[in-house]
Amino acid sequence: MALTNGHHVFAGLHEDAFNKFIKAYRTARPKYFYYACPPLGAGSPGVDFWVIPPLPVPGTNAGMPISVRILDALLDFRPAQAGLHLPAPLVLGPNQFAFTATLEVCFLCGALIAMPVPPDDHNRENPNSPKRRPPQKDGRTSRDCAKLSVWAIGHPVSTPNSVGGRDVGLHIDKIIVKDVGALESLIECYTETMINSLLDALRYPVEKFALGSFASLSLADGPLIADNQLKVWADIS
Amino acid sequence: MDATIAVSEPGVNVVLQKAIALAHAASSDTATWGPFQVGYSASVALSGGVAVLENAPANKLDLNNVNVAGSVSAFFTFDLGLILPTICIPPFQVCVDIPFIGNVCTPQFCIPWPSVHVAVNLPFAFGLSASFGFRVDDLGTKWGIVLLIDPFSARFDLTPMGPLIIAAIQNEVSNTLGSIPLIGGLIAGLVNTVIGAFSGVLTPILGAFSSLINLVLSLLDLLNVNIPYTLLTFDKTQTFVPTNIPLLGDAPVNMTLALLQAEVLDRELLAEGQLA
Repeated sequence: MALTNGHHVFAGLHEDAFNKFIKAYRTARPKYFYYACPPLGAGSPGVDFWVIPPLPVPGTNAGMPISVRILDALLDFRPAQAGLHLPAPLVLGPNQFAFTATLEVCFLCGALIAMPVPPDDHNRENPNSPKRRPPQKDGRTSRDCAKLSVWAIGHPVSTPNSVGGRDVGLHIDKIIVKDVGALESLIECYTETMINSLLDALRYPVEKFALGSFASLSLADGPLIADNQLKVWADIS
Repeated sequence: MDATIAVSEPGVNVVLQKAIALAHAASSDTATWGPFQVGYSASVALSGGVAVLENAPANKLDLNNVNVAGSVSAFFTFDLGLILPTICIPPFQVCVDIPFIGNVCTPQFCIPWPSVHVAVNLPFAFGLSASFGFRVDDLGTKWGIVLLIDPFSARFDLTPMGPLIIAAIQNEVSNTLGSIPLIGGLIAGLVNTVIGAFSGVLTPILGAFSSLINLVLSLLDLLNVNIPYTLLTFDKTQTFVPTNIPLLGDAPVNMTLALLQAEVLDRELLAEGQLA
């Protein structure tokens, strides 16, 4: 069956290509998969991990170092691979992809780092009162981590870019994080925002990949997910 | 395969029409045939044509009815004295040796034949059909899907040019001879003598014109049997996200197009690539 479907050009990227792309992205830009407040984080700050502020501790002007690492990120385009088991209520429908990952969240428990006080903050220390150090836990710290399994489904998106073309990307519609009890909805909201921000950074100008061979190309249809591929159609002008 | 690109038959036609619109070339030459010196140039341009894809295993592109149009501009220079007999009036000269005076001859005028220059412009047009095979070539930093033209014979016929050239020469020779006094009754015969001489070399001259047109056609990469014509190229290193996007200092995200293969399926040019 013809692939171009009435258009001049068809381009399809298999899910394997997307997963290779995620690996290439992680290799070239590891910080997009690793966010940490020093002393957590390994390697060069700003290169190997994205420097984030500590998690504020209420009642203090200090925070606890935190890190979040995205492990084992994997995309699966419809139809689902045999090994994919999405937790209810997630169902992989037409034109959708599944995303699975493991999030590793770590605290440097016992460590508190002073945080700058916002200029309009009313909780300023009295300079004449005795100095109050942030409470420490026996002066000892420990790195405590938890791994969270994440499942999500989403759909492809196409948005205008700054050079007159269109970027093709992926967007999460629904995410599930298990075994976090009453915090589930909070963590799901936070994780969905984080993953969508990462996917925004992975958007790609569709006119460029391979289709750059043609002098002038405009996206005519798609993106569409089917047959384990992300498909687009374009016309040459 | 990781990536699939398909180009429909209309899409291939759009790409080829862009190439055809740029296909024009010219060349020139000079040669001597007997008393005739000939300078000639040919220019050729392509237009139109319809590409038809033939599915695997043929894996071919047939380009039909391309309009090949151009012209041969030629000038012929020849000295009539090398072709026409010497003509003197009166034909004979009588000389006597007179003592104390010397040799005395009756008056005689021999016609000095001039040189003739004839310029002609000969437009031509014909339809050309050619068949191409596909191949993927390693072009260094790129993969190229190239067209390889099957050897073909251009179907152009220059024989209609023969009478046109003869008529132009006949006209110019008549005008030239007509300006010479006292030979009015001889002009027709003299012109026939020149045309008779020219007719003897007309065939090799037309052959030379054909050779030049073939040479000019071979200057068009699309029709050169020795130069694969690159239809599409794909960078081996595909930059999926460029440097400094979205943040300053961000490294580029590159992937390597490690393998590319192409065939014709369902009358589409299908290219499949493997990323690494």
